[in-house]
Amino acid sequence: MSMIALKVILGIAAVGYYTATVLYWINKRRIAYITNAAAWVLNAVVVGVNWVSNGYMPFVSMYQVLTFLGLCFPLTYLYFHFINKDEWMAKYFSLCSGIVMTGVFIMNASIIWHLPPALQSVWFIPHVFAYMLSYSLCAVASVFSIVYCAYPLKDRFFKNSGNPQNGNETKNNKAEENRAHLDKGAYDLILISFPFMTMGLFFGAIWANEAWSEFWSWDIKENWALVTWAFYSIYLHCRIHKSLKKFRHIFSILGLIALLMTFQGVSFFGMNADSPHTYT
Amino acid sequence: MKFLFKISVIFMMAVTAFIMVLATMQFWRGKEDFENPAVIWALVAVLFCFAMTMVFSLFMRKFDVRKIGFYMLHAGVVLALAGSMLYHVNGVKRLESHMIGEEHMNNPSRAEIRSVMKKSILGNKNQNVETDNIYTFDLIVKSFKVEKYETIYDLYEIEKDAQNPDAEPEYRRVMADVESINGHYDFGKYGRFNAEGLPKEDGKRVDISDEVCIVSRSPDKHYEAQLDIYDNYSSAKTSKTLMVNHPQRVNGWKIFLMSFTTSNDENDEKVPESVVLIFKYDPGEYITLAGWWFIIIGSVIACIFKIGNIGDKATNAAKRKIKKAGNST
Repeated sequence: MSMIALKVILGIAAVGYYTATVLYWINKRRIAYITNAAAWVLNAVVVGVNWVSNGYMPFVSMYQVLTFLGLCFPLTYLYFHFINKDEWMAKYFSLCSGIVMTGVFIMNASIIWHLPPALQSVWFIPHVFAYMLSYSLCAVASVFSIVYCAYPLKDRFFKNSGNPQNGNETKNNKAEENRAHLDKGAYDLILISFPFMTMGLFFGAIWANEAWSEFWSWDIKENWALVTWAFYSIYLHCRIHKSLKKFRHIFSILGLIALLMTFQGVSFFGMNADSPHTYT
Repeated sequence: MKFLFKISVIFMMAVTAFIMVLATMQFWRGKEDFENPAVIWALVAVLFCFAMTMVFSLFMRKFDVRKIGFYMLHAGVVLALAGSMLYHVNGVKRLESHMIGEEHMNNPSRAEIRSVMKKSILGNKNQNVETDNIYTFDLIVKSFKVEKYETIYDLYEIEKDAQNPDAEPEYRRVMADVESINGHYDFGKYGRFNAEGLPKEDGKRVDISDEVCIVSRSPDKHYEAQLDIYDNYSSAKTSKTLMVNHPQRVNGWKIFLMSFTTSNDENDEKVPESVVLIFKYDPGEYITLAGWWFIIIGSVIACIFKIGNIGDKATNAAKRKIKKAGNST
C-alpha cells in the first residue's frame, strides 16, 4: 500500500474522530460510538499496514508511534466506559485521537523504517507501549484539568444576569457537578497512567544499561521525561494534602507541557541529534 | 507528620524545578552543564537531600502492610540513588577503539588510539586519558560481522547560486528512504531506475541530471564481534560473541559493543576496520537495578490500591451516609 493511500485513510480517520467528538457533544451517543469505532478501525488498518510492511511492531519512527498513540485513546476510554461508567469522557478521548491523527496526516513520513541494532531489544516494545498508554491517559487528564480551571473564567465572561435566582442556582450546581466530574476524572486517569509512565521511564533506563552502558545519561529527552513523571507524581502527592490540594491542577497542566516537550518539543527544536532518541 | 509531608512535597517541587532548569538550559548549551563538576556536585547534593527526605518519610510513619507500594516506591528511589552514587564515586567507564585482528588490548601503542577516540567520540577535551592497564583481562577482537538492510536512496535537488557559480551548491533532500519495489526504485517525476543499475555501497552518489542526484544508504541491520578474552589471573582463554544490547561480563567488568569504523579496501569498498567498545566497572549496578524494580513494582501496587477506591471516596461516603440515615428512620 502506498503512502498516499495511507494518508487518505489517516485523513478519513481524523475526520471520523472529530465528527465523533461533535456527536458526543450534542448527545448523539449511538451514532458517535459508530463513527468513533469506524475511525478507530481505519486507524488500526494503518497500524496493521505499518506492522506488516516493517515486520516489527511499528513503534520506531514518530509517524509510527503517533499512529499507534491515536489507537490508544479509544482503547483506554473503554476502561472508563465499562468499569467506571464515565461516558462523559468519550468526547475528550476522541478529540485527542483526532488531534494526533491530524499531526500524522500532515507529517512527512515513509512507511518503511529500518530497525537499527540498538532498538532490537526486548525492552523496546514494553518501553514504548507503556509510554503510549500513559501519555494518552495523561494528555486527557490534563485536558480535564485545563477545563476544570477554565470553568470560573467561563462564569466570569458569560454571565447571564437576566435569569431568575433559581435558574442561576441550578446552573451553578450543574457547573459544580461538572467540575467535580472533571476533577475526579483527572485523578482517576492519572492514577491509572502513573504506573505505566513509571514503567516506560524505568524500562527505558534498564534497557539503556544494556545498550548504551548507562542507566541514565542526562540526555535532554530523558530529563524532560523525568520532569513529566515528577509533575504527575507531585499532582498525586498534592491531592493527599489538604493545604496543597488547591495546586493539584497546576501540576497536571505543567505535566502536559512537560509531556509535549518530551514527546515533540525536543525533536522539534532539533535537540536529539546526539541522543539515543535520535530516531524519534 | 503532615508538616513533614508538606515539606517533602515542596522539596520534590524544588528538585523538579532544578532538573527542569537544567533540561531547559540543554536547548542552548547541550550537555555542557552536565559535564561541569560544579553542576554535577550540586545535582548530587540535591539528590542526596531528596533521598534523605525519602528515608525520613519511610521511617516517620507507622508500618502498615497495605502501604507496601508506598514503601517499595520510596525505598526504590533511595536504592537507585545510592547505587548511582556508588558508581559516580567508585565506577570506571572507558570508551576504546579496537582494531579487528590479532591486536592485543594491553599493547602500549594503543594508548594513542584511546586518546584519539576519547577526543572525537566523547568530546571531553579536558580529560586526561589514563594509559595504564587497569583491566584484569586481555582481549582480542578476532572477527567482526555486519549484516545490512537492502540499499535505500535519498534524492537531492542541487541548488546553485546563479550569481556566484564558484560557490559550493546547496543540497536539498526531496525524497528520503526510497525502497526497491519489484527490482525498481521509483523516484516519482524524477524517473524510475532498475536496481541493477544503481550502486549498492554506502554513500555512493549518482547524478541524474545537473539539478538532481541520488545518494545510496545501506543501514546496518545487525553486527557482532567475536572476542577472545584472556584472564590475567588464570591465563584461561574464553571466546565470546559481543552484540549491541547484549554486553558481556568479564571479571566484574561489562563490555559493550557501541559501533564500528570502516576503511576502503583495494576494491574501494568499505570494510570494518575497528570496533568501538565501552568497558565499564559499576559496583552499584545491582543496587540501582533493584531500585528501578522497586520503583516500578511499588508504583503499580500503590496505584492499584488507590484504583480500588476509584469510585471517589467523598461520593461513596455521602452515599453511605444517606443510606444510614434512611435505615435509622
